[in-house]
Amino acid sequence: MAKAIFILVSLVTLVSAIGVVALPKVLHAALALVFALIGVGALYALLGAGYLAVVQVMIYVGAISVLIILAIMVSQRSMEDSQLQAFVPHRAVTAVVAGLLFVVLAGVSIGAAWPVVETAVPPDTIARLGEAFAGRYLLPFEVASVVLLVSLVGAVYVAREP
Amino acid sequence: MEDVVGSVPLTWYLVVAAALFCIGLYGVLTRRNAVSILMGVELILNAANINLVAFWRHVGPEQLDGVVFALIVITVAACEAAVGLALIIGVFRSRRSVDLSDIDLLQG
Repeated sequence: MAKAIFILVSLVTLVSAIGVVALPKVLHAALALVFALIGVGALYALLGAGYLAVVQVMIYVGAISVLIILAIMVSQRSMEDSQLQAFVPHRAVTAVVAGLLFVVLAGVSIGAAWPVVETAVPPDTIARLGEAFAGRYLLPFEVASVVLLVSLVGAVYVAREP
Repeated sequence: MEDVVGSVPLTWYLVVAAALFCIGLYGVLTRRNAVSILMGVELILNAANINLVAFWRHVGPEQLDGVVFALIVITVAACEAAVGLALIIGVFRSRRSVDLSDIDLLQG
């Protein structure tokens, strides 16, 4: 059952990802990206990381995709990407290289002996996550918030009217 | 419920993440529209995040390192998208194009 759901979600995710890189119009690619991101969020939920699934939908699907679609609309003159694609031999070589890399990565993933433990996810994971962010991971948490603030101020500075 | 969810092996997640990574890499290398390249980078970051969460789930669900790492990666990805799209809008203002082959001021 879980395997069937996993295969379905993975197929949706990967087909949407292929749409992101292959659809000629940028706006269509952005919509395919939304589906791919929702699929990744479903994979998080399948892994038992419900909080991450919610964060994925809120930040990626809610915020980043809206930002991307807004950028496409602002730079509307070049929304048609069909002439902007790299020429065909280059794409064929890149596809072969990416395919070979996939074969290597998948071979390593299947061949390696991962130290897998089959324990269930503790039910209080989200509460412990909050405590960890207020305790052991306090410094990374604060640094991440400063990085977020600085980058957003920088983004406003770069994108404003000169 | 937990037993049903846990029955998907770790390897399957790793293979899906590898496929997602390679698709994103192909997009980054072949697209010439800057926004499309950013979308490829988002795919690559998501593939890395799937790996982090899958290892957290199957190797040590008692420790929270994998989830914390994934959350920090999502934060940095949000920063990257904001700054990248701001740069694209800034470049579009001055050059009226987001085709990377038109942006050659520093190319010497």
